[in-house]
Amino acid sequence: MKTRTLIRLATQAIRKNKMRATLTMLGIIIGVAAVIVMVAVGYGARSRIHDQINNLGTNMIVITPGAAQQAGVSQGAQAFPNLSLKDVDKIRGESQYVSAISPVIVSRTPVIGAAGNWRTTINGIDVDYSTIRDWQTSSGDFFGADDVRGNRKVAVLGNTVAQNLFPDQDPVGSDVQIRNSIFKVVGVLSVKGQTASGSDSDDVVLIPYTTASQTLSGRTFIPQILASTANEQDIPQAQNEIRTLLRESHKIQGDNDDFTVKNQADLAAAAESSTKVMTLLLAAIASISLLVGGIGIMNIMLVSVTERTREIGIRMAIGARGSDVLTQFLVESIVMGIAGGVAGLALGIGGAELVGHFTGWATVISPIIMLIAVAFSGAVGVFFGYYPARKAAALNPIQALRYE
Amino acid sequence: MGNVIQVQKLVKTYSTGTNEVHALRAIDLTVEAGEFVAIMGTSGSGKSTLMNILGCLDTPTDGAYLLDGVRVDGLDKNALAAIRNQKIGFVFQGFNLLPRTSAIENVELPMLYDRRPDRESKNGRKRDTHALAAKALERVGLGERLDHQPSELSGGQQQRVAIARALVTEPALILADEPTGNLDTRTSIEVMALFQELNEQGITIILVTHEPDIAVYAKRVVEVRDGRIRRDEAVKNRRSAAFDAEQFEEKEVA
Repeated sequence: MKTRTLIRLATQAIRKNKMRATLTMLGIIIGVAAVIVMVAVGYGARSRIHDQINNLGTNMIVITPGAAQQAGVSQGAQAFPNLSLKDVDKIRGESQYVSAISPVIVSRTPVIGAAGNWRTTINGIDVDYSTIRDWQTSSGDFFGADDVRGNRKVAVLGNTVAQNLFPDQDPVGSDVQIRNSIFKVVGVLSVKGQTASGSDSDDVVLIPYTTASQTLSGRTFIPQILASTANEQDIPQAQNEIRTLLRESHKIQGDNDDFTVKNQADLAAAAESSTKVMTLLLAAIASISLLVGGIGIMNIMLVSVTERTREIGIRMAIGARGSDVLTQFLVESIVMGIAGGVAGLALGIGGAELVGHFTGWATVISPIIMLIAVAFSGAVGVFFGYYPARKAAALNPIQALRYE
Repeated sequence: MGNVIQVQKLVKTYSTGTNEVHALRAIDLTVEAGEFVAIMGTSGSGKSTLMNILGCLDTPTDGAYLLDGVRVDGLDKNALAAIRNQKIGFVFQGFNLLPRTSAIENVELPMLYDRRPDRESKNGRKRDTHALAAKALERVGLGERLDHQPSELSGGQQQRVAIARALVTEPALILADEPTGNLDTRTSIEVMALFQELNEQGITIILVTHEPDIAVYAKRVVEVRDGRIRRDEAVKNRRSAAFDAEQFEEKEVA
């Protein structure tokens, strides 16, 4: 029999029991819709994190202390205060691939301005920071190399800080007080938005690292070094080079590096891996309902085979082979599976839109996922339809004809 | 004309646990083309078993069976399905039409299972099963009821649809198993009139029945008892069902 005839027969058979078929397909519909929504939300979260990581800067390399092992136990990042300005100078001086480098000395402290005070993050940095993070000022300018060398008390305010301390006015040229020192505001940063972890990138004040270590921390320990390369292809070489230079300066032999060098892609992968696990978990839970839907199909097909024993007998008497009967029932369950899959897809797309609309989460539905969802529900039809179809095909025509 | 059916020393034995049931013991039967044979017998006589084997629904334990010149004993399931499809037209007591399926679709059904490649396509197009089915329904007098479902037809009409389904493949043999068992006397006579008409057109018919009243419309009667043929003779005083139907009508009017 031709495929078209088979599909026509299957649709006819399904139409004869509309209510039953709809209820049976509901399992698949809900399963597919759930998978689509879950994956859409998961993908949405991943793509947002990806954007945020890209927003961090261009060709950025992050060097953090720690991740050293002691007696086989990793101590985790920042276990050891072992990055120093000497390291920064060594990389700047000897590396071929690193085009920009800046230490980042972090501290949290209140800043007092015209409209009151605001607790924020103070980053002590070098002039390259602007290049590395691809972050310009919207008003005024960055401080220069002279300011860094001269330990000058100058500050560039993040947009959030500027708005809170100097509402309705340009803070450039005004003074702010950090701890006991008065800093001159030389610039305001352009808006950068949220970080991957959800905090506000613009809630920050940038000052020269020299000034920072002198007036704020009083230490020479550096929690983070940022570097960048001129172009993307250089990143792996730059990372290797940095590693070699730091191992040299820290006098390390063997595998136990006391620092970690990561690029943006590593950071993205780390951030994405958690959402990936979440997406997989959600999809796994959703697939269980798909499985339950499949069992529903099998159940109804078994009932259908029993109900239609006589029909099977008639078909066999007039010349249907076992394989014809098998195909007929199999096509029926596949049609049910795919119809359920397509309906579930529509429902899932609608559901993802709704979730996005009400929660503000980004949702991404890839065409591949749509294809997989429909193909998978077809496969569920094959898998769960095979046993009942087998049973139908194995019937003896004489007994099937006599069946009441 | 050649033999449509040639059966020699046909034996069928069922074993139910320790017991052996001899349903058929050495049946010899020859049916020529154009014959109209009534196989008679009480229940348990073996006539159903004989009919199942003649219809290629079952296989004999022993003996030879030639259908339309082809040896069919010992063929596998799929080959038997093809034989049933191409050589035999079945008419059953319970009509056995597909429910909720129009008359014409019921009649088209056997053609859908015809795997012969020359039937599949002609000039790259499938043969017009719809037109053939419509023609078969016209032949049994149901040309006006193509799209009716079985539930919308009377018993006699349903049996006519079943006969059309048996005819449509132009089989070598029509095998009718108690075709009038579910019908009233008048409709039974009408259906028998149709069988007689088809037989006159040259179609070979084997009719299984236990009613002597029905067997008189056939040309030859074969009686089976205890798995053996007890009687095999031409019908004396053969009746014309068309004539009887007319008489019946007149009686009712009066």
